[in-house]
Amino acid sequence: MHSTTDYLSKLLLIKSGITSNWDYQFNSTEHLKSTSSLSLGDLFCEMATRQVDQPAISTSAATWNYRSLLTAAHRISDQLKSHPEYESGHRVILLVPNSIEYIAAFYGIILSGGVVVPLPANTESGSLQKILESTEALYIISTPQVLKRRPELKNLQSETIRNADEFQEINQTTTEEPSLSYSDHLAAIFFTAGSSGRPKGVMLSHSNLISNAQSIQEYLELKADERPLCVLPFHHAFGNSVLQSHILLGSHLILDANTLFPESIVKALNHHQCTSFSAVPDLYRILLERTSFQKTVFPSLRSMTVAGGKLPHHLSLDISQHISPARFFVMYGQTEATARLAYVPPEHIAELPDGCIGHAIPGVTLEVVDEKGRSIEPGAVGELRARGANVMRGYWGDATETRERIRNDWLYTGDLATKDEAGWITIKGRRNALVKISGHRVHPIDLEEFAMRSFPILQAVAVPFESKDVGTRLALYVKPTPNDNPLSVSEMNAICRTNLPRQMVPDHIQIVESFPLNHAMKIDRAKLSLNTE
Amino acid sequence: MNISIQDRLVDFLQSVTGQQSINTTTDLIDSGLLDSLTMMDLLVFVESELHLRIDVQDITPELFKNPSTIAELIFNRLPQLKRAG
Repeated sequence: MHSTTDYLSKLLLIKSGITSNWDYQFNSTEHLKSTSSLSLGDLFCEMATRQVDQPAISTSAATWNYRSLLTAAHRISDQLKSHPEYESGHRVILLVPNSIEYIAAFYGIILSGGVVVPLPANTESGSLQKILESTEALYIISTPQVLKRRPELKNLQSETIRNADEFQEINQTTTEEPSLSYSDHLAAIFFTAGSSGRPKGVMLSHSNLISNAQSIQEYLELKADERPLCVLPFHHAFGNSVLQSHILLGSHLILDANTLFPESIVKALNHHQCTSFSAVPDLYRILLERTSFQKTVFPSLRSMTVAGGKLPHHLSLDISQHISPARFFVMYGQTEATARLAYVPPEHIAELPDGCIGHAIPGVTLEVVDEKGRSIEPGAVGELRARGANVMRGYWGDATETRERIRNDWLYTGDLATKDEAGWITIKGRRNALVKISGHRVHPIDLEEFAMRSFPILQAVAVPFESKDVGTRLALYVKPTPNDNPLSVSEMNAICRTNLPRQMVPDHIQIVESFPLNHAMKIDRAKLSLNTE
Repeated sequence: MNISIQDRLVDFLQSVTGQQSINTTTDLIDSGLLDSLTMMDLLVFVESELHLRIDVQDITPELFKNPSTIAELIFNRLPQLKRAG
């Protein structure tokens, strides 16, 4: 077993240079429900202490037990706390890809009483800067490899995580210190970052994370001896929910596959005798079409889950049948609900229609209501709203948006749905134009605004379309300004490629003289989508 | 033949990632330049422009390390396709 120092030496604690001139007062005396008075840090320490000699995480190179993970988390926590300007409630950006280091750093920040702000290692520098300023994060935890591609961070002051020997204060009492956080305190902020517009930070409390993890453990019937294959990025809500729900059970997480090389997933599932696997719809498509998945048997598998978008019903059935007796769970949720809101009990998947998301997870209430928040008759289309201990605390620094989404303790999901007489919920569409591109949330309007700022055009319309074999992508239609020098499609494409995250880059750009209008004299977006297909 | 496939790959990767610094030996994986979306773009490019469908067993970290190794893979597969007519 590798020593703890081997992995911690790959972590850097970077001083962001931001000066905090106020501290976000998170009022924990608000009248909110908590499912437990314990913090995430307490539960983590409790579990890790009970399971010290059990394997916690395996990569292709090594396996760590819970003792190593706990020690590493404490060292990171102690190092953060050793800085006098660092206080409980401070935000720490976590810029580390899925790895043992990520998990140690996540819990290290939690143990120090901080708020984790996980971000993709390739976050655009504009977005990173905005998030740094918005959260006033004093520290960023990252690795030398990430820094290689981030010139803006290379020149900042950084320190490596110190060895246990260098720390005089490390002794047994470290693990007995009272928790610096309480269930209503913030544990993490998950940003939906994009190049245009303001990234929105979903604030999740300890109670949010704990309650959702426990509910997930319940309906998936997870056991302590689970060995989940983790390919989903931990910095997104779905991946984070896999991390939390399994670590808090003391399971053995397997990090030995890469979504870039889908065949490695099939191999890892059996090589590590994985009991479960979670992925977004696009990855299941790739597994079915480009790997030996359909020809392989998985004797150790107990469950597979899909969320983060819609998987066509016939594919859900194919997977279900193929992995039987292991069960396939179709699930639904959003970051604003920590992760999960609903699931389809596997035994019902065949009889339920396409788009059906089942019923609420334990502890959550789901209702379909009209614009006034009144319940409507079975089968009628309304907005899906949710109530439960997993509903976010709000958007960081954005009380207006928060009030739009959370009204009277109900989280308005923004999804249109129906509920039938038996209580089964089916998603019918979005209230606004948000689309999912390979599991990523994209607002077409952000692309339109980017285009307006970047190109000499009068108008821009971005619409989703179904690209053959590949899934949902964006198309951009632009009307050039008459007297300016126009940009060609390939020039516009190059500008998009250089400045936008891939999921926001349009796969189709077209210059038009005018836009089709529908009978309401509004731009006929549906027609543009069909036109692209 | 091999060289021009390499050049086309480098051009394609430069345009798809927006990174002009990519050359034939640029590491694509550890650097994070290839992610699951750009990988899909690459496979679609190879299929539609080079008329080659890359198989299950070929999508490995060793073969996709950099544009040069990918070009090698494609070059080795193309004659088979030509023979099959």
